[in-house]
Amino acid sequence: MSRGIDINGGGRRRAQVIGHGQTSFGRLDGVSLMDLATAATREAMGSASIGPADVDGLFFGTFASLALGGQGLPAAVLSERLGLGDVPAVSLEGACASGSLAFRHAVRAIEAGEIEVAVVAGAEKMTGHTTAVVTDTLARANDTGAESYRAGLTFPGFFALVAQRYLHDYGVDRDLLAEVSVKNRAHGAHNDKAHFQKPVSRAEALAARPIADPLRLFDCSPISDGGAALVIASREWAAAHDVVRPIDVLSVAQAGGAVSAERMDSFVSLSAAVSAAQEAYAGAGIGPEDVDVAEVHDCFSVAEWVALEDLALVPRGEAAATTAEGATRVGGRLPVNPSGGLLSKGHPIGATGVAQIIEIAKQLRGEADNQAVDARVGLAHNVGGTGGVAVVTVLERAA
Amino acid sequence: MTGTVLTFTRIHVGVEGPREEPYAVIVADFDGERICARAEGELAWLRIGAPVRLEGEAGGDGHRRLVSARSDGPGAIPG
Repeated sequence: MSRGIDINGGGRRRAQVIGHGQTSFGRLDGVSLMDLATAATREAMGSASIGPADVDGLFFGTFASLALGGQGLPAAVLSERLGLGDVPAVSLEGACASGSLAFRHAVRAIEAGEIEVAVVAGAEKMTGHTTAVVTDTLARANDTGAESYRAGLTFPGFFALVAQRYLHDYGVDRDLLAEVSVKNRAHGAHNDKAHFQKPVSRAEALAARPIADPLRLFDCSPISDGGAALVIASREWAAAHDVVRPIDVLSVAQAGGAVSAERMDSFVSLSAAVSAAQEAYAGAGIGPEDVDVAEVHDCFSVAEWVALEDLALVPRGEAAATTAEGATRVGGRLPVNPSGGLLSKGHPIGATGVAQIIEIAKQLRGEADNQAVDARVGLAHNVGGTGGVAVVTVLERAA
Repeated sequence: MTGTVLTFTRIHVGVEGPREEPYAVIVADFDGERICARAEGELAWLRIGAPVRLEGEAGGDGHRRLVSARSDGPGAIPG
């Protein structure tokens, strides 16, 4: 199979993941946004055996650095903490896809030949505020001039709109939503950096208090603090520096979509994810049938079903049954969210997309805590807002 | 102005936190135009496909200001 071929023709420079670092996710009292980003990035640079002088660019994904983290100009502050000198540093914001946006821009800079080595960080400090403040801050990842925002639509509310329509269109029993959270909490029990490391039973999930019908407490990802970081380099640089077990970035694609509920073409699909997936598969030279393991954006249980179908990993309307039969568990035919996903691992917004790529890289290296069998190709799917932005990344174990 | 509910949710934890009485957010179709609005009070009628009537007028800031929605009940208007 020919992979990683530029769809515009000709070969291209390729980026490789050569190091990663991550803090624990959860309620982390006494540490700041910048502490989290710095800790994760130092760990990533250490794992890649690089120093500040090796870094050509810093890309930092964070959503609410100022509103919740109390820090403006976060990329420059992180750069200084890391001793990167005058290296260009930029922060990128794409709501819950901020981390993947940072990754994408770093990969593009390497593929374009502008730089050889990049540090990609993602972090968020979300606890320490009232739930109302955090909920309102997150809700502003909609068009705040739209009717849905004015009507008081929260993000649980938005995905509840999706869930209601999904259950209606495909005749799915609402109790099947619990299968997603039960599965991902079981996966998260293997992840010592996850926000929640305790499994939940189906009965517990179904008895939990309602948040936005039909979603209950365990259908919702938590408010988390956390940081994650990657080091990526050109394949040529990695080869020259004898990097051990690099991971090829076959493709990373971004697309845009609706920024409010009332502007969605469909309530059971996010058009940006569909477009990004198609571009990512084409860029990687693979199809969905080639994916061995996936980390998808399960900010809410129903979002995992929609993701599986938008990525064409499962036919439309079949994600609920596929989940219920166990196919998406580690050991099933397509392990999904072996890290525990956002539902269990936690969802520190800016760190989420970076942590997804870390998990896939670990899976492909064969060093994951919850290892899928012989995973060679992995995919990460990261969504921001109501699908206003989606990023799909395809990685492969380097030959 | 009557439309049809495309999807909806009852929000138990709103922006301001947990609520004693949930409110609903509805996306409805009005002659091909999608409108999102909020409904409070008796919500037993709410289902996909239900007829819905909107109350409110366009605001002066260029955005439609639709703050309530209600139905005369299941079957009252063909959905």
